[in-house]
Amino acid sequence: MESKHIIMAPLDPVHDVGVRMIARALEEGGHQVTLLPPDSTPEDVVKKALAGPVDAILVGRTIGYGVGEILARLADMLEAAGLRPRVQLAIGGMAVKPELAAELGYDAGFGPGTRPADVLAFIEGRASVQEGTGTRHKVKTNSTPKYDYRIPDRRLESLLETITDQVLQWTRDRTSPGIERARVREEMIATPSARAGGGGDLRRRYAEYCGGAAADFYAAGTLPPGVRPMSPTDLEVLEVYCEESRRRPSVGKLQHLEGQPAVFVQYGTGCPAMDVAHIKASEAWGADGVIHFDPTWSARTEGLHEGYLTQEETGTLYTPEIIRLIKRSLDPGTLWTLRAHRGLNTPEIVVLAGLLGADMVKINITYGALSGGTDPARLTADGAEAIRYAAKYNLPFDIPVGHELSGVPTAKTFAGMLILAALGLKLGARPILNPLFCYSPNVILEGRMDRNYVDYNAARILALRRSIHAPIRAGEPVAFMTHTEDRAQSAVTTSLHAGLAMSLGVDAVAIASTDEAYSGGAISVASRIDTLKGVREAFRFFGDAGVRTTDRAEEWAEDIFRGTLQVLERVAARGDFVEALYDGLLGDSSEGAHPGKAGKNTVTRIAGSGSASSSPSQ
Amino acid sequence: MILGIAGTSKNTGKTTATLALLGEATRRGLTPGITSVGYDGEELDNITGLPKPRIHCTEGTLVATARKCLETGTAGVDVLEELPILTALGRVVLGRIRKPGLVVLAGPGLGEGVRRVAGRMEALGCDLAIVDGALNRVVPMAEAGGVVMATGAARDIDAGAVAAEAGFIAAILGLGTPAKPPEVEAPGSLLDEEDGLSTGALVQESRSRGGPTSILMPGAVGEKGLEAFSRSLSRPAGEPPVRIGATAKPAITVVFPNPMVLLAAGNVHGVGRSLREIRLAGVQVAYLRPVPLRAFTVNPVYPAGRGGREPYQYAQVDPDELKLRVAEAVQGPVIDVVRDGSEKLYDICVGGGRSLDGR
Repeated sequence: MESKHIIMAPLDPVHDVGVRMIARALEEGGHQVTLLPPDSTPEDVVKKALAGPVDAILVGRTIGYGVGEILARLADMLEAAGLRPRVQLAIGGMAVKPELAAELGYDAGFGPGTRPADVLAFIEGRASVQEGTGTRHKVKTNSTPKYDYRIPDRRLESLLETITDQVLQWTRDRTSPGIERARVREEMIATPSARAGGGGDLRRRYAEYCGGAAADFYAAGTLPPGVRPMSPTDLEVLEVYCEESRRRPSVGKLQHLEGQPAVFVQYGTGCPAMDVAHIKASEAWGADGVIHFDPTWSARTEGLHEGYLTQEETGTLYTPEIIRLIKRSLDPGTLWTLRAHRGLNTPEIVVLAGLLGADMVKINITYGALSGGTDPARLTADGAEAIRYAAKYNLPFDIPVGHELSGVPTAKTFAGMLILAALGLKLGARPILNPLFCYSPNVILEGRMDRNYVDYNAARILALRRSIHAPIRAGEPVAFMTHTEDRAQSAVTTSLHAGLAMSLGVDAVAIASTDEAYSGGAISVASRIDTLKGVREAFRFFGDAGVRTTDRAEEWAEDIFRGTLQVLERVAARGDFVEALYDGLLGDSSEGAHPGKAGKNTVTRIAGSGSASSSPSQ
Repeated sequence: MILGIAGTSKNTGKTTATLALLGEATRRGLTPGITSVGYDGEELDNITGLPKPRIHCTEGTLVATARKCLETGTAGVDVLEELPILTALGRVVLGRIRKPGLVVLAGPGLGEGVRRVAGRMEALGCDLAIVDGALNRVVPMAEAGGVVMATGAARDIDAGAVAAEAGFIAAILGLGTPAKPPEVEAPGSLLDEEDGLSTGALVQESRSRGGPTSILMPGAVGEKGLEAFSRSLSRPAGEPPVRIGATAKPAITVVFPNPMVLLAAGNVHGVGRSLREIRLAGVQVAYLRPVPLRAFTVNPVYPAGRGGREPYQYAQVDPDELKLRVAEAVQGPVIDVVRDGSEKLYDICVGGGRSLDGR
């Protein structure tokens, strides 16, 4: 890049700090900057420009009534002096907008949020400035290659080895309608005629493995109450919206320093169009990733993944059409996670994610079986198969432990999470630990957050670090249960939790909107922006400094680690992971965990390998 | 024909005059074209936050604006071509209104771009290209075949001050072409005192030794530079003052590229006074390319308040007094567009009305 000569002029009496900051960045970029003193006049600027080589003039000025005329006169004098259009002219200031720059006859206007790099880009003619201001091109980050998944504690390693062997042994000769549907789905996506809604044979085969509302849909075309196909107008309008979003790329950044956590938000309003709007707003305000939430009833329904469906309840359905639609709307740099972990469609959702371009999935057998409503045997069979698909499609999977929100102690949820992580490693997948980072019932009961929210959350992370060298995404979302109806309070608590997670060096956090717990329906985009902006401030505030814990954090980390080992010892001793789930070894009814019933008695032995059903009759 | 609508400041009524002319041209069955040297047609002012006149265009009107602005308006526009003109809002396109509605204009910010836009509009059958001004910008209007100057209470709520300034503007715009083309070019500009004195010394020297009598002043002009230049031309001791317009001995003329260069030099009162001094010193002032002043328009409405905590709001001065005082000062047509109507404005500015300088 050729070095440019730039004149910078603060036309204000005193306000030249911004001008000096930009000047420094331009000099570091290899350009030659002449900085005029504050309170320079248009004549001073023109005189200087006539005196030597000049390629660009940048002026800074607070905008008020009568100021526009001074700035316009500078544009006039530069033109009269024959310096324009050879010399670029731009203005910066707190009230400056591109429209004002256009009105004044300037080439660009830099308002609040401008980074020195934006001005540098303008000077170097790299990008259209107005489209680039405050934005960036995101690059997806995959944190898993940084980790070797080493398990430093021999005892822990050996217990996990034993238990995962039990799981693999148990699942080896078993199948389920969910596993069969996933296989048909792979074929359907690979077969273009099936994709277009044809592919009669495949569709018939698929329907054989469906049940409940999905069976009705395939037999009679009926949809469950509250679900309807999106109209052609819906889709047309959404397509225009997506197209416009693409033409006006605006992707913000939350991290102040390299290495600060990636930030994920959740969506799933039930309406794909509204989801797209939420995704685009989240991207614009800096979210690095989005997590798709599906409806609870759908997780308990065998099948029903077809068409452009919209529904009244929370959670957006997974269909190839909807997934493709959302994929088209995403910024190429946005990480995209599909929640697959807890229902009867777990393997099939991972297939959809793998074949239709998602970046990650969520899978956890223990959570889904103890608090997600799915039969433990069924989810063990389906979960292992889902992890195989995650490995096949190269999708890292994270392991959420939402059952801790039902009251299951951390040691039990962590034991389940580590079993899944070890199972994933054994099957060639790359797990991500996904601990709670919030005020959960067990913590409330034990009084471990009475004095602060810091120590126990830190203890969770420290305990996991002691267990396995693996990536961690804190959530889900951080600060859950500390929100109130007060949006300012909710934004602050989210930001502080994110700041703490950052200080602990986690790879990612998931955050909620400020009205997520209290919206009484779909959340608003404005409240989503609250927490994104709050988190950006927290990252800026803490930077590379940290949050100090008390000694309790280490003590509790030790407690959690030892407790986890004890839980795993009992599971290993039980000799059967599935039975251990039914027995409550990983969370029992006194702790709010209840083995799910959906999909009960649907696991079958593969032909020639013994009894028809493997679900224990409890 | 290109008609420029310039103003002495924001909120003096440029867009109101533009809309009146646009509507009248359409009513008379002509094809008008419109662009702006700044940004026009927005709902709220970029500085005061007050509502602004929106620009409504009828079918067939040609518009030149940044492509991005087409999305903001309600008019249906067929884009005919993209022009090599960049604004802070992106590249300028030329289009024809298909479906009547509002347009937002962000057009060429430089005279070169105005010339290009008007040239393309003419080639597409445009009868009258109207160039809406921005704030007090005048230099891009040097390309116009005539200019309407908008002034009013937004410039100053004292009608006397508005009128005095208008008088100087009319005087500056009223000068014509030189009797003979420039023979030499003055080196440098006339920005500050140093420039003014050195250029003045050169002219004095040329005068005393019988050098060239027509000198081009090619660069930018500042109020202080012009003032110093006028001082340095002071008549030799003992000689009587020269009657303005009379031929001095030896006759000498300084030629500026256009009157807009002088209007942009700073406070018009100061510029006007210096021009008067220059001419009293026996030096003629002329332009390579004069821009005929078609009329003044006056707007009694202004944004009251000066920002900060209190929002601006519109207020009004006595419209009769304003118009009368300005008319006395400029000795030519003065129109209150809202009260006098667009037909009168059009007749005077386009339809064969006499321009102030008689051309």
